[in-house]
Amino acid sequence: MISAMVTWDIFIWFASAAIAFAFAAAVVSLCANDHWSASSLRYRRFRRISIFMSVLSVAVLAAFIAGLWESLERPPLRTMGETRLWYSFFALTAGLLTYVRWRYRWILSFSAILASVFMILNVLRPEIHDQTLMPALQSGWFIPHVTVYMFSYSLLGCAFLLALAGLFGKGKDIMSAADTLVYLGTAFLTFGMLSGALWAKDAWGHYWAWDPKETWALITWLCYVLYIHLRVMGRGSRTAQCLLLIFAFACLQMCWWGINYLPSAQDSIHIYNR
Amino acid sequence: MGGFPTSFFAFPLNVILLSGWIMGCSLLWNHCRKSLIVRFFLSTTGTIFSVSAFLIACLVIGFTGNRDIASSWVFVCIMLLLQTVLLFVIMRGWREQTPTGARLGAVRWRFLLLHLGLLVALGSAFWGAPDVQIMRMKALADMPTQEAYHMDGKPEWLSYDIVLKDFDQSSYEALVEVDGKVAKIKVNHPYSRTLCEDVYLMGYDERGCVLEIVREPWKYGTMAGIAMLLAGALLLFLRGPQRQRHVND
Repeated sequence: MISAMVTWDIFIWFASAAIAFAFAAAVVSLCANDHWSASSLRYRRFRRISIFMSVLSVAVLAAFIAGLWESLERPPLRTMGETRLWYSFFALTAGLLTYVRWRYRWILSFSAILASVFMILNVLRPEIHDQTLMPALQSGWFIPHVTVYMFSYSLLGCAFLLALAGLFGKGKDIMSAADTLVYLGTAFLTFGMLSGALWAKDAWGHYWAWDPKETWALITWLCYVLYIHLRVMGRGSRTAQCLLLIFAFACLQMCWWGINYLPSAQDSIHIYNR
Repeated sequence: MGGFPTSFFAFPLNVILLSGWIMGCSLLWNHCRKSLIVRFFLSTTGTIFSVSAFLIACLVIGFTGNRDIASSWVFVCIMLLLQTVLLFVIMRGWREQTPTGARLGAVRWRFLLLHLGLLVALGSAFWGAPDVQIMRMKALADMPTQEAYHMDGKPEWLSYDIVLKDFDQSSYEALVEVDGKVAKIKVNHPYSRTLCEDVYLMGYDERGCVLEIVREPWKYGTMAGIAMLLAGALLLFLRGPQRQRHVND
């Protein structure tokens, strides 16, 4: 009965609660001091509170999605508004998982901002709730594919900043922090690329067609794979490794938005705004 | 560019060559492990060279937009080199080793899933490419059709009829009778006629809808490789950076 009442009209209340919990989690995680020992009671208490708040935030959104699903009598995957709902959900979930596993204090702030942008868009622009996606984008792959890519871009963006610092700095910590970010970012990048291949098989009949977007996604992935191998094998100077990370991030930009301006990529089937 | 006669290597020639390649690699591994070529495949130089060569080839495709490069002799050689390096590296590194390499230990799951997954996915796409058949046809309303056209324009008569029963423009769904069975086909939801043959909806006009028939017998290999890579990526996320190893993998 409750689910039958879940409509976009009450989304503002769910969004407000989810945003409040997400930012509370972010603030608490940022308040945990770097100098506290990981085993100290204070640190563990702050961490538990931020995880609890984060779980609440995800649960509030999950409740709205489940209710909307029930009241629409179909999966909420058809309109622009519905996909943005999922972006918010997956951004918060990915942030929570990364925080639980890797304890990056900044990651909850990033996922809170990312999720809030999409939730606020849904509140401020109710017309997108009825804006139907083009048939090719109406797929269960669409949201996980895009969300994990966005998440990997943020992690690899941080790795890029560390690479810039690594070019001029000398600390060993810079490279080991960059390594962790590259491993996590590459894991998400792999999920994104492979979910794209599986989706392409469903949509067009081919896992891979050397479309410009696919090609640049592969180039980006190969750059990070090369970096990981250079680091594991201990090959290449620190400067060369940092330059490779910077080049990899440039390729990522090309894959993300650069191909829209690349003359040879104008026949891409991934450019939907023509 | 282009130029590699892909269709010439269709079944059974691709399976014979694949068997020969695996046997050749096994022989080299078992009997000539100290030879220069095997040492190159197992070296850090071999790994970095093969990944870099693949990366450069992709960059050329990316900047020029020329997809024919992917069916050129040079590209085929790079793919073969990459697969060979992957195969040798997997044979050496799938289990933990002591510094002397004498004793085998626990299975290195992350390494195995990522490398074998990539090899299986790439290998299925590479060796299976000659067996892929793509045809287009027009399904007409209440008129059985058997005539389909390959991408090079060559016609083929299907062994079954295809009839368009209904088409809903608003939901972009076609109700099509394929081989006596009525199926609903829409974008992202192809119809699997057999294990190796899928029918896709590609477009429509006032006379009927355009269907694409894809025959890809090796698709399950690619799917298995992707599944392994996904599991490996999960371990990449969970375990994070690997310490520098004494063996070069």
